[in-house]
Amino acid sequence: MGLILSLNNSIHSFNTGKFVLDQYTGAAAAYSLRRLSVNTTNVVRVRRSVDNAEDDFTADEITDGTLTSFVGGQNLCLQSEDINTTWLPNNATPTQSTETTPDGDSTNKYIKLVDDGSTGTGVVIISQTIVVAGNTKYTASVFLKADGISFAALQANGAGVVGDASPIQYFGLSGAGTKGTASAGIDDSTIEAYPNGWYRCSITWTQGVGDTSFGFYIYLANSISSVTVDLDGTSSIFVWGAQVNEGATAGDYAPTTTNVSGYGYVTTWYDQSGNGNDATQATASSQPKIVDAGSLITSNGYTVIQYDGTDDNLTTSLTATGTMLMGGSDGSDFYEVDISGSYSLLANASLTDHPLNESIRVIWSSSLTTAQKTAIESLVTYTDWDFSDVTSFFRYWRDRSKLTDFPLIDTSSGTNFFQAWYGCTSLTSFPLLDVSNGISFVQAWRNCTSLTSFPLLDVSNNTDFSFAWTNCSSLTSFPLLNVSSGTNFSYAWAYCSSLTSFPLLDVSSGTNFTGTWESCSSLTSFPALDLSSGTNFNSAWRVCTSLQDFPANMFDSVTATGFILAFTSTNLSSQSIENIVVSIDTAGQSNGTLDITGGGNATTATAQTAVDNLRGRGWTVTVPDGY
Amino acid sequence: MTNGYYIGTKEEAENYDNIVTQGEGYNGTTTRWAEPRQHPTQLDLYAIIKHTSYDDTMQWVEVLDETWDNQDTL
Repeated sequence: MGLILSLNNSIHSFNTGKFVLDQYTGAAAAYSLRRLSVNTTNVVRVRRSVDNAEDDFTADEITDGTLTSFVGGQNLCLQSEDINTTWLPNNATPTQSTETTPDGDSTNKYIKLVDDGSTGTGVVIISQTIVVAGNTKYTASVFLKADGISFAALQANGAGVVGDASPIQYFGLSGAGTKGTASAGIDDSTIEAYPNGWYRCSITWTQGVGDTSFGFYIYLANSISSVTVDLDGTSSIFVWGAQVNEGATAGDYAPTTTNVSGYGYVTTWYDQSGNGNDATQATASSQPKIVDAGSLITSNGYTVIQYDGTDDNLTTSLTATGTMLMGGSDGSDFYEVDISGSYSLLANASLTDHPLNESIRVIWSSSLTTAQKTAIESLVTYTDWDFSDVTSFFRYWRDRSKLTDFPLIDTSSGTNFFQAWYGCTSLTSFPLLDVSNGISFVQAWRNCTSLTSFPLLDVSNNTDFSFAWTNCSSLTSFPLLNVSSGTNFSYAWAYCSSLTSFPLLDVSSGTNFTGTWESCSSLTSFPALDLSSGTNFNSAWRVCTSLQDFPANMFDSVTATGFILAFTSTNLSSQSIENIVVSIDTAGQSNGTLDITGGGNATTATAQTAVDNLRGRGWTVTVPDGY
Repeated sequence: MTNGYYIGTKEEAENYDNIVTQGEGYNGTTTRWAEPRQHPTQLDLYAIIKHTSYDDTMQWVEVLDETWDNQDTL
């Protein structure tokens, strides 16, 4: 794995209506998978692996599926529709047929697998060797149709799979399609009926750790459990559309001939400065990759160009003296490189003057002003964009670990804030953004470990707060947010280890409080929240090692029976222990589990009565003094 | 996943590149399969990355050993 260049999948234009190169002119060359200028058309040219065809793509076409559609899905199997080429026959004669294949084609082609014998029995196979990665899950699939016989088998021969080095699965090619007992090493198998008597059969396995190839074996079978067939020249099935792809399921079928499919390589990274300094690579094996196994390559949620770390590079003939700015793919780094003379190599993993993750490279033929640098950097840190019509901020600023503050941008249209600021570990404060339309804040501020305060955001429409502020370990207090619509608070404030108090939030709709305040180790008391809708309190206050005071009547009406590890490693007073067990006893539920440990304070007589009552109703109760 | 490398003479490596390049029928920006890489000290030795679909009689290795690392490829 080598150098990675990237873009944001859903970036918008500047709030001025212009792009950075329109605002700050004078770049000698500018490369990005984003659009940098109003004059920009194509940003990249890509060669696809299946037939080496090339085409140009705009920034939008990279993200809207046009590029991946052009490249196609992954198929590591060659000659997927011609068993007379590449495939090795054993006791078999690949034969032409006009049988209509699942794609509707009825031309005469090699799709019929027939035994080549005249007497006795034997094993009839066609196979080809597939190069793969070790310790990786693959799925081999093929369309089969009964002819002289109606059974077949698929095998990953020599795959080094744990349990069976060559796992095999039998298939019955009649009715709805049937499967025999899978051998050890088959993770999954499927058979799906298609029109006109065809079935798409597949096997999935995990390649052995050191096994970088396997034989894709397609057998005729005599039954649902035997590959020994009569060698009489009439044992036959139809075979078409063979495919091998990484992963646990057979992907959309991607035909191949002499090359595997599903890979897209960058041949040209277009210069958006208007100077025509396009960066190119004419040698196929040195072209960096942008589509892998049918999918855009991503890093931290952003599409990237990936270099192999060996010889991949894109080159321009540009000669410049000035400054080059490069941005990290995840916004975590921003680099400034002085160019003292010619600079002909755009990117090569063997160089050390660039980051491993890069989203933009703009070369200026003179020194930059501070404003220019700021503008370019904003492309990476996203402080100068118009977000007013953005609805999904899914992982938008995730892991931007160098951001120390965040601007007051317009997020009012946002509904999805899933992991939006996850891992912004240097943020110390957060602005009063308009997130009032947000309906998902799952893990939104998780691991913002330097936040010391949090604003009174309007999160009133949100229902799922799971992990929202997990490990905001520098927060000492929390605002009185309106979380009244929230139902899932699992681990919402877990590991907020500096919280010394917690506000009287309206969590009355909350049902899931699993781990909600786990490891809030500085809390000494807890407010009388309305927890009446809670159904799960497992680990809720676990490792709140300073927690002494817990109110009475908190669980009087809950239906929950899950308090597993709920108060483990706390420091609850005798009165607090009494408050908890009496309240749970009052709720009247049976057969639950309650764990209270730490501190060692004695249970009161009242508490002991409640514990006895609970145990009488089938509860397992642990209290600090061992009662 | 790797296709490995073929190691041979300069002529053998260039011939392999020609075979693959012609077989693949590159068009557009792409003009060739791979550039043979000279060994930094054994100057008559060249390596070329193997293409999945083209076999050759040259020596095949899965990875180039460290003796190939000193070459300036720029």
